[in-house]
Amino acid sequence: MKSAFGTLALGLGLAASLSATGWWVLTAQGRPTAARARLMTWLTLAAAAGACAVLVWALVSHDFSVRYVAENGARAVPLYYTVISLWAALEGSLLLWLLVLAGYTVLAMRRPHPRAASLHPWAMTVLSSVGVFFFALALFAGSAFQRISPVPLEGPGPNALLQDHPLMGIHPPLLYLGYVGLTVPFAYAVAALVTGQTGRGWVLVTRRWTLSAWTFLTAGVLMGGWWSYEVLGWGGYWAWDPVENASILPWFTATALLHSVMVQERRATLRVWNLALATSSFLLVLIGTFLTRSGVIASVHSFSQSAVGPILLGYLVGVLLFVGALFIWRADRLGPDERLDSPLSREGVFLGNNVILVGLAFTVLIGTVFPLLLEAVNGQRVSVGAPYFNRMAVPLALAMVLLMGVGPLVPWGIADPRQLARRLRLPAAVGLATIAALGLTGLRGVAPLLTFGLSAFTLATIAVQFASGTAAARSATGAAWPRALLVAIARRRRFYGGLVVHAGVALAAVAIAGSSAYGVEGEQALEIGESFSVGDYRATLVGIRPEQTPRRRAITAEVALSRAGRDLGVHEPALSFYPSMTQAVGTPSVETQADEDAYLVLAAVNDARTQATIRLAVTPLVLWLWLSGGVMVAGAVLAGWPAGRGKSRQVPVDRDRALEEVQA
Amino acid sequence: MRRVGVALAAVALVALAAAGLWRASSPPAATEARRVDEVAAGLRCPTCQGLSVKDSSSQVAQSMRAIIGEQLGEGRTPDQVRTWFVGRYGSWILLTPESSGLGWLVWVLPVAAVGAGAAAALLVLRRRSTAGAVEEHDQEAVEEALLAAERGAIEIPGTPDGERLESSLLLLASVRADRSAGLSSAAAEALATQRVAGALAAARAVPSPQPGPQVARRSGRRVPVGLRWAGVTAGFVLVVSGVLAVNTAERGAGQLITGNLPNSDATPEMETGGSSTAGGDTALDGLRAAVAAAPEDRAARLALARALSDAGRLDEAAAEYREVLVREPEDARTRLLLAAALLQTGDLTGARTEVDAVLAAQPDDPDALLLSGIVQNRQGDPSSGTTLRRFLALAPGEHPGREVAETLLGADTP
Amino acid sequence: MTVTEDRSPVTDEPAAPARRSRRRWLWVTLLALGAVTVLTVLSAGFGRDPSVVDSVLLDGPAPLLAGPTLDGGSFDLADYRGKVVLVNVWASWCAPCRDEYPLLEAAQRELSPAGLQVVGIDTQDSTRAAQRFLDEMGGENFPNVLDPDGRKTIDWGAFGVPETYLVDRDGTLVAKQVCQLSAEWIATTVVPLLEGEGTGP
Repeated sequence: MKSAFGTLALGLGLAASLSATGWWVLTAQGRPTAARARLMTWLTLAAAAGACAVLVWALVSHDFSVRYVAENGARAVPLYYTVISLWAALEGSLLLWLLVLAGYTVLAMRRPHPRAASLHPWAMTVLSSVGVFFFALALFAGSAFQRISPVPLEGPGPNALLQDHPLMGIHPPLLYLGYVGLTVPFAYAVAALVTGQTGRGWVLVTRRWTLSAWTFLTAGVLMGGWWSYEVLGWGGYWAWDPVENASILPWFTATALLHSVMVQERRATLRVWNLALATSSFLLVLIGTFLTRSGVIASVHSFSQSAVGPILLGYLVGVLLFVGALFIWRADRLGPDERLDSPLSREGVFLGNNVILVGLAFTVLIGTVFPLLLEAVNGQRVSVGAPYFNRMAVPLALAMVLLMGVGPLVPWGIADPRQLARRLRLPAAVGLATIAALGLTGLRGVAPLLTFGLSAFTLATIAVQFASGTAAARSATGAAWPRALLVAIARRRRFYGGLVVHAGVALAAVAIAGSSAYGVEGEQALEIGESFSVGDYRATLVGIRPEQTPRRRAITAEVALSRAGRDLGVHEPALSFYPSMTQAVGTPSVETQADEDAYLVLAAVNDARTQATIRLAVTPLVLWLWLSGGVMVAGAVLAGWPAGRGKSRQVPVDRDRALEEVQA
Repeated sequence: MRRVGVALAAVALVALAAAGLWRASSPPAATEARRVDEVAAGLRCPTCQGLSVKDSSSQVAQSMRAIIGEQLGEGRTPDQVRTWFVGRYGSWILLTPESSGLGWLVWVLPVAAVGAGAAAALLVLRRRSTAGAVEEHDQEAVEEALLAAERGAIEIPGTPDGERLESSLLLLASVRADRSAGLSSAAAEALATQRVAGALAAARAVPSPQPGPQVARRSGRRVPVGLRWAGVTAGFVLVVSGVLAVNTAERGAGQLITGNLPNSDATPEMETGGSSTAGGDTALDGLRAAVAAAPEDRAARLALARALSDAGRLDEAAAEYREVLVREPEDARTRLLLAAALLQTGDLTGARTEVDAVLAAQPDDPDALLLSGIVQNRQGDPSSGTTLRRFLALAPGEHPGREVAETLLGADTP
Repeated sequence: MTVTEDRSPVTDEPAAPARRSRRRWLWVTLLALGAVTVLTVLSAGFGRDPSVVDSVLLDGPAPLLAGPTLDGGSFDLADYRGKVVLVNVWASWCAPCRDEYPLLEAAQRELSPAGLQVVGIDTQDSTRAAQRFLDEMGGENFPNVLDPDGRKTIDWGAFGVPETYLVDRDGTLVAKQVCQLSAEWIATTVVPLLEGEGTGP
């Protein structure tokens, strides 16, 4: 019965999104059908929510007659993991995708921006048509609700790795909120092309959508890194795995879009480029979801092959052709572009930012797809892994950190080199002093040293900006400096929010450089009572304990950790054996401190359980990476928080800056 | 004097930083572990998903590290060690493609792309000639427009000229803001002001825009409202029912498509309760936990009992059957299963009791008759023959127990 | 500020429409090429398991295999020239190995008169667990070389368990099967080799 309800919900969703598409098209052509279209869009959301609810209901009640539950459910799994096994496998995660998409569609429906009144129905049409595709995919190619017979009495449960950590409940929804959220800027870009209004209207509308999708995507990607670090047990947070790469590709283009629209607002230029960035973000989302769900590339995350793969590929190519045709058709509306004045200007910095970000996206895409490419050409099987990506991405990333520091200090229009140099003197000194101090006191490695120096430079420029803004506010209002700081931020929230995000990125760069270059580790087979040291730390094997829970059989090593004599407690890395997996799953134990992490892994245990091979890795600055994610999200929230319109201000308004704020 | 001091300090700082970088660039002492790590970081662990041999904790990776250490110790170069592994696994084992064949493409393409992008950006940023002075009354018009824009009181036509006016106003505002922050120069402001003046002139020169043709309407006869609604509803119903029909068709078991990692060949335990495959113990524990979690769930308990009896633990199986019967005393099938379990453990009396209870309620049940006949036969009870003949008379033609009954009867008759 | 909706007509450039339409066709061609490239590249992986990589050792001399066996003796592949050898990599913790053991045992029993020798490599395993496994399966029917640290399987280029290799009478590695064996594979690949018809499909 649940199968029928679920299938009915999906069918209803398909029908509703089909008719929504139709009604929105009619609305776009001026017919008074908006109310019906809205009703259909609400119905789509109800259908998607209903399908998810039915599947969760089936999972929780262990209804093994539903195929998805038979493949992913088990009676012994705790309730929390049973509920989140909604997205443990392909069909269920499709339902989550549909829910998020329908939610965004409904949100996009409310209160169209006055500047985009004629874009809105077309954008809604595009959103509904994307919904049609995914509902059809969920219904016909990857239906979770098919009944199976005979009904099994027990299922294998979700993948063991997905039952290990509660973060599994947050990471995919966050990631989907970011990923699917990029559909809205795409929809507006297509609407702009279709209506020919490629001016500022679509840019204004999508700015907040792009920013919020970007925020969720950043949080989701960082959470994924945290999960990889805490759960997978290899000691790292980013493996340049194809699915990880797929999730970060749209992040690059979305970041580029957020910056280059600022150029389009002040110069009637870069229209084609911005439209291309918005549509490429969605195409990269499709490529990413194709790589994840088609099973053509081996990855920790990927699902195995099914009919979903070719269908997604077909859709991807179809969207590519459609968008390309739109561009070619509307080529006459996309120019002529205003000429820019000078490479040394804010516009120039933003263009440089775009080149670097799109270059990064291209590099990661080529590296990820290269094995497939070679296989298509001459059947050769090759691997492209971390060494390649690190070597290609690091120089680009460093250039980006440099631009992040310089950019806010470069004025619009034309910069005076001498003036610029004067402003950059102090931060440059800070950066150089950092390099000198660290290098001369024995730190090794040119790339990390450069990273530290550039990040110090960037953080110094950000501090200078905050200081000068506070000083200006203080002289304007006479308030004390804490309040002056708040006033300054309130006046130019987007600017200061952006600065906070930049600070977060610089912090992340420092953390990444430190943790990848200066980790030390050691591995040793220990008898009970023996110990070994790595750096400051001493790990002593205190005991080996077998454990049996209904879900798994585990062997836990009890390891006492101390640092320079100070006791850090007893840690319990484990090896788990799940009935459905052929290899043991290692669970690490991490001691997180402000300056470094001590990471313990149980690599092997002998038969008699008297000896355990323990691996201890000491990695600096890992905590800073997670904190930097928080800083980035905070900055984005600060920048994007909707301002009350027409709010009366207590302080005399800075006339020129007010104009920028009013543009929102 | 001060300028010289600042310049000297700057030079000193740069020199110190350069010294720091130079010092940092000297490679660290090449210990054995470091050399092994360097080679291991470029090799892919065969049993993991994309991890390098250096990062992986798997047994294979540990062995590979040991092999690398040995070979380096024998004096081989890192390249030779890599070639050795490639000879066994193919170039797939290297984490970066070799330059032979088309491997070099992966290095060249991104560099070429970034280069092309940078070139394109520079082309876009070509320098423009510096502007002349702005006329007085034009300046007033600019200030007025700026003021109006800030108050939100300006009307901008939705034409390209209007777009240019809007953006130039915003640019001027930004440049003025930069100036007051000390970042921009008078020249830049003059350029921006001139741009606004030009845009204002262009916007005013154009006559008020005519309403041009809308995006072309789809021409077509208007369909009556009622028919449209009917059509939509019919389409709805068709789609939904078609979908239901397709998806509620019966589907065979074991046709997994998704839901598992590529290298774990887990199949859900169909029908047998997961007892005969590897990890039988853990499957049993799983079932036991399920039963503990839901004591009233008859299906789970029956699955556990069946698994136990398949594993040969008949006493425990019998106990589980009894638990089911406590809750559902009328359940004849379970009672028969209990009897069969008891029979297998050799508890003939107990088996007899249970079977007789079933026969009391359903005297013509073929399965009960068969079981009763077998028990009686074991007990040496002469009435077993009668029971078995009764079973043969009542049982359907293809009942699997017929052969057993015939054998027993055949053995009986001398 | 209020902005009226954009209602201006398409700005048509009267100059050189022919050049524009040629440029347009260039873009269309580029778009089509791009779509075809994307389609070709991304569909290259369909229909094959991405984690299975073809062995480079095929059609070359089989790697060495020598060492102590589970029952205390020793084994050397070089001694078996003239026989067709089926090398099976397994471990007691591997579930599919359990399912394919009967096949191997049957192959050894039925095909050894024709010149087949099955040998197992017990990899990354403890002798106790391996012995238990074999006892469960009905005793040791063919030699099993011990490989506790996995080095021998590295020599053979094995990616995991179970994997099976077929060595012909001249010592050449002629076939490799990744994952669980099937009776079909034995019938189509091993039997023809025994009968001297070369390798199967």
